[in-house]
Amino acid sequence: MTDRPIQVGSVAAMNKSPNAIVAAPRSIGFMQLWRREWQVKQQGAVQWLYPLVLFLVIITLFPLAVGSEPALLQRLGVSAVWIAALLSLVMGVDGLFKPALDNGTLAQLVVAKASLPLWVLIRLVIHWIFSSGIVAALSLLAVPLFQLSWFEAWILMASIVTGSPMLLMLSAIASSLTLSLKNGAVLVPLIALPMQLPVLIFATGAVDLFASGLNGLPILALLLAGSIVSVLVMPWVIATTLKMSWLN
Amino acid sequence: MTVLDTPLLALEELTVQRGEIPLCEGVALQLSAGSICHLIGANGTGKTTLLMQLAGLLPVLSGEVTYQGQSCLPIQPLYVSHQLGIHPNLTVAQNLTFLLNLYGITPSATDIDHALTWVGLQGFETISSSHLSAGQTRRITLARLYLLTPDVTPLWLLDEPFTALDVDMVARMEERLCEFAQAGGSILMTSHQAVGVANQVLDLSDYMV
Repeated sequence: MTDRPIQVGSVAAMNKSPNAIVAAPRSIGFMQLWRREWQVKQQGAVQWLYPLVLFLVIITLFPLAVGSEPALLQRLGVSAVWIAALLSLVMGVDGLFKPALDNGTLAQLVVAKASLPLWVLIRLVIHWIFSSGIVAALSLLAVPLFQLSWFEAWILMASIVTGSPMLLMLSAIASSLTLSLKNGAVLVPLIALPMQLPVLIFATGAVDLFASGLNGLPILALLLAGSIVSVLVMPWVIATTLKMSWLN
Repeated sequence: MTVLDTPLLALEELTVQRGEIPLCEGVALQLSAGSICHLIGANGTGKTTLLMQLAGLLPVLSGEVTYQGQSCLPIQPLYVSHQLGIHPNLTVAQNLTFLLNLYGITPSATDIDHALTWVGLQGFETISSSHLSAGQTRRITLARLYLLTPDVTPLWLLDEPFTALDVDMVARMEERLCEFAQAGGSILMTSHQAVGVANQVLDLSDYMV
């Protein structure tokens, strides 16, 4: 290792003690992170529109494929909408963290000691708004497409709102685990779907109970509780797995 | 003018490794306030890996890294790598603002304008980053160097910062590096070009396994 003094113009050296240079880390704030993630999502419309188009295509083609018998459509409608919602969610998961790893955003967040769980939470909340949030609203199309009653359609929407956060968190953890793997996106549904199936079963079951005149509220409450717990816990788990992305 | 003695960053018997593969062993370095250390070595010697370890992206499994005598990093280093941290969906100004926000800096429109003018991107504030060339995109990430000072981030870890830059921009960069070091910051950087302003050299070839 060789040393040579700095030879620079007429700029005088500042006789600073190194201890005076210790900088208490300053971090990016919640609103700044939110604004950035909102801008990324807003200006990348193609990425989040595609899964929504897939959802619309599935729920539109399904009645055409099974025929126009009202009783059959009503029986299958809730399940068809839920499966379409789940597939559109899984479709959009590849873009959750991979771009951030590839373009260096994730590295910059880690190096600057930003709160990675907060970033994950914000990213997933915004992703939910632009995916399952819109899907929940579009699920009301089940009224004309599947001959559902408005009551049933609102319950269906409520089931998507309460259950989809948990689905998203499960997809996100699978995505973060496979982030640094080549073609890891193929593994995400294989890892996440077995855990997501109970949510699908409970959600469709709740809607069926309401449609039968029974009380499906406890099941919706269970879904909501599961979503709340997963939203509170998963960002920390996901952040920990994201920090290991460079080990492979 | 001489480099201050107290090390900001000290490496002792450090092993540079990627996963299970050790690249270098016994690496030693003392970086004081005012140091500009040029990290050299052939391709594959572990220059990028060492910077990633110091940035906290890869673990240090063997050896000691201390920052002003402390084993955990109490400061936020600046890390410029091959992945620039630039999102193609965002405009130039939005990307630069985010990179500065990470260090607690909320730049004004004037700050952004001055920083972009310094890197030759004046007037590009509202241009989408996806429309820029590789060299122009790199300039966005370098523009923050104009506004970052040692009291915000006293250690800069720069991995090939001069890549895709023209001669004029390289000269401006070297001048900025000197200003930063003179203000008490420390820099550890790799470059396949000669770094005229470096006052220390660490050759990883001396520590190769």
